[in-house]
Amino acid sequence: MNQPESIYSLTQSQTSIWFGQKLNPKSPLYNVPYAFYIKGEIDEGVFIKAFQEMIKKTNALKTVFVEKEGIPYQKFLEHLDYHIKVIDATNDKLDDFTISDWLQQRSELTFDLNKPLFDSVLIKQEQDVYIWYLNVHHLITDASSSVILFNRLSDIYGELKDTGFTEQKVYSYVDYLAYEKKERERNLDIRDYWDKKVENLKKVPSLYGVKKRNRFTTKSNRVVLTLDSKQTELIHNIANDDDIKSWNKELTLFNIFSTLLFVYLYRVSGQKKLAIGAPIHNRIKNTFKNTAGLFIEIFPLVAEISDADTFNSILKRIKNETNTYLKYAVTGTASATVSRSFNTIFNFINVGFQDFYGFKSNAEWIHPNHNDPAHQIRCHIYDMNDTGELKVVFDINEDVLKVDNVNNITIHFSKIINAFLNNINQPIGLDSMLAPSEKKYYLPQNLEATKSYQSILELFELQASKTPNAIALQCGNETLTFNGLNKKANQLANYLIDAYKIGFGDKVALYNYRSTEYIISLLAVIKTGAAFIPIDANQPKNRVVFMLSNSNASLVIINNNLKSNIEAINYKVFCYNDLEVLLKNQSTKNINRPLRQNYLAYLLYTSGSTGNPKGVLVSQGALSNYLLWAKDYYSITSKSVMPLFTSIGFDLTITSTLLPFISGGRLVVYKESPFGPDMSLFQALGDNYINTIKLTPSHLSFLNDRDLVNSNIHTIIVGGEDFKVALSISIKKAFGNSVQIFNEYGPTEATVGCIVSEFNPAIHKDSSVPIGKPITNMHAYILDEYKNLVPKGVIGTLYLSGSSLANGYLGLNELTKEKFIDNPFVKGLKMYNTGDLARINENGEYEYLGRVDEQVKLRGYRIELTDIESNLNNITGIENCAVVLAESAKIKVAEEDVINCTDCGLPSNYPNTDFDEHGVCHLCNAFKGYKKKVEKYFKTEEELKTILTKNKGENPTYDCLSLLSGGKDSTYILAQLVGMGLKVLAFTLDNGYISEQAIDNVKRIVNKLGVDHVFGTTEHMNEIFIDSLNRHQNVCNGCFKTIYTLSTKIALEKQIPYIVTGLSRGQFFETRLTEELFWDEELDVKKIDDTILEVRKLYHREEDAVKELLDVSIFEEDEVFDKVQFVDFYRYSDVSLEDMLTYLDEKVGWVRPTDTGRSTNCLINQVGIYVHKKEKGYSNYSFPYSWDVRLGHKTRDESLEEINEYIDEVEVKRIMDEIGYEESDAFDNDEKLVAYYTGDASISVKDIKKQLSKQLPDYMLPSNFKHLDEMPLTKNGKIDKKTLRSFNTEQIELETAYVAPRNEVDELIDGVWKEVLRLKKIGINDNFIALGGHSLAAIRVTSRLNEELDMEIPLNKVFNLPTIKEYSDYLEQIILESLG
Amino acid sequence: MKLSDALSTYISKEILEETSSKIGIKEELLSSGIVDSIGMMRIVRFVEKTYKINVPFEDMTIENFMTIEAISNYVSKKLDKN
Repeated sequence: MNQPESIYSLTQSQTSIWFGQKLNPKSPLYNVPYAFYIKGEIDEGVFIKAFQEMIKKTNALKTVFVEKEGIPYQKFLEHLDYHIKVIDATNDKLDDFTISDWLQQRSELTFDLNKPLFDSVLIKQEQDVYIWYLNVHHLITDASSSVILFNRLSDIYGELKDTGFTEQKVYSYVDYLAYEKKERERNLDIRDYWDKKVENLKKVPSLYGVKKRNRFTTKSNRVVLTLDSKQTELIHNIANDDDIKSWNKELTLFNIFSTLLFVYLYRVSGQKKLAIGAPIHNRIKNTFKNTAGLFIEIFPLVAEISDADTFNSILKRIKNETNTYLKYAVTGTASATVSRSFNTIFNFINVGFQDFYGFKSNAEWIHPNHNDPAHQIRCHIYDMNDTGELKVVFDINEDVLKVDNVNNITIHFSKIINAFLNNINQPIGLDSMLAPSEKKYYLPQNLEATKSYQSILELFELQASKTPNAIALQCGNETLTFNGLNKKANQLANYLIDAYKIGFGDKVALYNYRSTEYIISLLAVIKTGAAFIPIDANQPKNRVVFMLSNSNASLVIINNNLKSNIEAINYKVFCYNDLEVLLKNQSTKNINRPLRQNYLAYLLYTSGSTGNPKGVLVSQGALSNYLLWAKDYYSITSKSVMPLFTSIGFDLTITSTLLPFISGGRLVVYKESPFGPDMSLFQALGDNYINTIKLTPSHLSFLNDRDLVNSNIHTIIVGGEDFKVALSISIKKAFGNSVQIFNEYGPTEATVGCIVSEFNPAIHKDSSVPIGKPITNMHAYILDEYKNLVPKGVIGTLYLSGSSLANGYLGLNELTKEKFIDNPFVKGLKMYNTGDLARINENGEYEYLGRVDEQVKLRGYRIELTDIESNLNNITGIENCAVVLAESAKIKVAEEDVINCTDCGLPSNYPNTDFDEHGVCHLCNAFKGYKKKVEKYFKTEEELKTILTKNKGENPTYDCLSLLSGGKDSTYILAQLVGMGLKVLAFTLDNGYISEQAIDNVKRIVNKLGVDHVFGTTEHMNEIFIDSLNRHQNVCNGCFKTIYTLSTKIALEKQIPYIVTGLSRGQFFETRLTEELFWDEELDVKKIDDTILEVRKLYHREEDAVKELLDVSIFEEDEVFDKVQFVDFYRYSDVSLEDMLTYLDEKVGWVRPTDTGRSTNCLINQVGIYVHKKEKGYSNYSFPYSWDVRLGHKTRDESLEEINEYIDEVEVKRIMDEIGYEESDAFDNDEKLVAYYTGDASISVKDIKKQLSKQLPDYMLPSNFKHLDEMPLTKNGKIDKKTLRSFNTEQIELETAYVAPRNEVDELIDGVWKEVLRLKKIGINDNFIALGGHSLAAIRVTSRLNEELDMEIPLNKVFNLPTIKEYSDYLEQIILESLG
Repeated sequence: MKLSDALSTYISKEILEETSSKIGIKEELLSSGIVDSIGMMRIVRFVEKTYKINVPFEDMTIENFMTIEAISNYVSKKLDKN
């Protein structure tokens, strides 16, 4: 029953529409307007009455929406008087509009949600031709509802016309509301099913390359594709195939078209995992079939496309997918989560409108030019039951395709339909989708306007004769005129020819700094007809050697200072400086050797994926094509002054190096700094000679905050990396807007630059500056995986072709064949696969979108790092960013691959371990070298006795305190001490996990030996365990420190001078001794003991849970270490295990506890072992036990047996739970995404995450965000991702930003720290302790540095000055003082 | 209740909402338009739930679900196998 006063909640579908409308209040995005064209003599009076009657019987039309505290409700008006307006348009009077314009305009009105949500007019178009216009808001209608309303009005009209009254029943939408609520509540499991299904589908495809953004417009355009009779017939034929048939014809067509839509979406987005939203009618009950209102819910169809797919293979999967979809498409189970998985709607419509009261009628669904912006493409398939005609209607969001291009969609889709009809078993990507109008982007008209070849040498020599006295080169105070430079180059060229017969076919390496001699050599080599190989002076030696041997260079022209780097190899080498006298006699005349375009101009090495660089072969033709274009495009003239300040081995540098010489301009050379980082850029800016500069965006970003208004620079050419709009804007600003900025794109393989754009802030609004359009004589193609040209907007791989293309890689024929393939579009040309992703934007400009191989796989998801980066870049305050997949910090070795040292048993997965060919570890081998010295460090039981009995009786009560755990070792000690006649106080820490039998042991032993005994306890034990597990991945460290702390306190109170510990000899090497202590020629035991004492002081002052939670004030003063001394019993005794056990059995009555399940007496011990093994891969006992073996206190077998003891994981988890330790999930995930960024350091990571999570699915969110002051750059000025990848987890989590070593001292310390702390990368501001440095590491670091520098730096310095920077400054100061 | 009766009751009551007229066990469900494709999948869900069987995709054929008789046969066969 209709309850007018009641208010009702909204259904899920209504809620999402309500919110959508609220977000876009002025947009008619949810209007559902129809124009019904009726041919017949309508009785207008009856029509008006019928319409009123229809409202009366259709409560959906009487719905209004109200809001209470922000929550929408609906109610149904009891009465609604609506007198439908009738307009007579027979005289064409419709407010001066044509009828269709009027309808369009009227359909775009917006409704007030608090008022009735429909609008209707009857228009008399001409005699006996009427248009019934009905526009209803989607909140109260859907496609079936429109038919229901039409039929109802027709029926009521008929009844009224014929009988004068109507007997139509009332169908209440309220019934559906009740049903929907009930179903929703009882089908929560199905709702979960859907949520789960879309869990990994949060990333909607970028249709036509248009990325997800915060707000899409609601504006959309409609295009119609009507299949011709041939296509229709073929589709029907396919639909009748037994293999393809589904439950009925309608469903079969549904399957076919959704398959085509999936293929289409894949091909316009490149995304393989796709969801499409398909509305389900939901009129499950019979009464609903006649009820108007919003019933539909949208559920996703999901498909994953693979490269091997054919249309048929997808169709088969879709058939099953549709059945699953239908099976779970239960009323009330769709949700907002589910609707976020798609941005395309697939709407299959096969309901038709009848006649109106016997009059022929025709329904037109008017597109209100707006749609829900979340539905970027809506694809409606009309299956006209009567005619069999098939129509595809697309509504496309205008942010995806602008109205000018919107017709392309029908071309693209029909190409897919045709490919499907042609052969359903063919691969889905075989045919190109390109619309004819899109060809122009790839095949520009001006191809014939090819510039003819001119050699750069010809141009230079011409210039030299034209402006002989103009300055061509400037380097410091030295200048050379064009004439002077040309003459010097001629002399050297003549010498090269005379002395070395250099000419065409030769390659001459130029291994040099940026200098005048480099430029002269370069020109000279060109003049001989040979090719040059520029090699940066700062390249690592090995790399240089590789390049020389790989290139088979005929000659190396080298700088004197670099000579020693390649002395070992046999090359023809000469130093330019040595030649001055010889050259004086050479002719200064031009040589006039022709330089043909197929001659090799240079060989340039770029980084290769194999670890060795690969040499790119660039011809004179390619070089000339680039330079001639650049001269023209950048307007390089005699007034141009360019700096040479970037690496000569970087192809970007070619521009500055040669452009001035062919244009009459000037080159200013800035040499590398022999010390520290290259500051040439700042020097060049400071000098202010230059007006044109070429550099990478990362270099450019150094200029960000400078005032450069007075700079002479008017032209900036940027290349080598993605160039952000934000950076270009701020650079423009820095130069007072008086600068032109060009973005040049090009791999070395296509000679420096081949696509270019000029930055224009008015049109370049996205995050990156587009790379623009191809240069003269070059083509750039964007191809899909099947090598089809992709439609405008779609992302694909960029291929290059044309005059600037390199000839391939030297000596790498396979790679050359793979990368340089035949150009399928222009016969006879090659085409280079850049491996870069690109698309053509709205303005026809190419956009660079990152590397194809920036795609990483993380936990099975394919992730484009650039996708994350560009989203990060959109966050205000972030200037530059890079996302990397961080390498695993722990190198996980499969357990079966672990070997154990054949001598000591150390496992091979212990960090930085080397094994020799006999399977002996490096520790054992090194130990052989200082074993003798170590032996001297150990002493005899006699000596022990002397020490302990020296002051015997001084203390009234006890001579010493003995640490007793209840285990065999400490029991043995106690018995021995008693045997020496000492008065002993035994101390046991009750950590809460000592086994009952061990406690019994303790009690029995002290009883039997007749010694006093105390239990130490602390309420903070669990916190100490947790801290120890987090800090050291074991429980023992925390426990030990607690024991030392508590027992020292007791000893101090009771004035006991000695504490006797039961550390094993192996444990000495874990906690006290390091290899470095035995490096001195002569063993100085006192020095070692002093060091150990120093370490102990530091140890007690280290920040950890013990220091925080226990009273450690006694350790503040050094005197405590005099008053209470530690004596390690086993330093003096080397009793064998067997003797010990016999002794214990016979004399003490010690019983091995059986209730720990292990050889220990502590129940929590195995938690430590478990965590250590899981996080580090090996047991925490591996290392100390290996020392026990090495020192002969255990056999290898005994050690391995104990290490491999069974761990009860259930018990481990129980204890973890008990103490409140949370196992980190880092256990299973070795890899994670880490985002580095520069810019505003005050943005909180939480905010960054929040903003990113709006754009990206969870699996694409970086786990860590690290702010850097500066991005680390490669030599060539690009972001150094390799460095970023090598930070380990702890470092990433550190607050400090990475700063590279500044000087030699920094580097020395950095090297030592890296070795000792086992890290790949340490910044100079990173804190030693935060990096995991502890007291033992301090010994190692300090000893090594002392050794290296021959100094005596105190141990505690590394804690007082805990960063490389501070430490280095301190060292430098004392070095200076010592010199002073 | 007999399988075919249970099916017939389900289809009449839940899908057609008609308790008066009974559907013949040989009456074609799909081609006669008694049941549409959503209805078909509701029937699949019904038999899966009621008889605790799993209907794999390859069994979702017109032959198996054409009539109440076909469905009964199919379900009995599945139950026998179990």
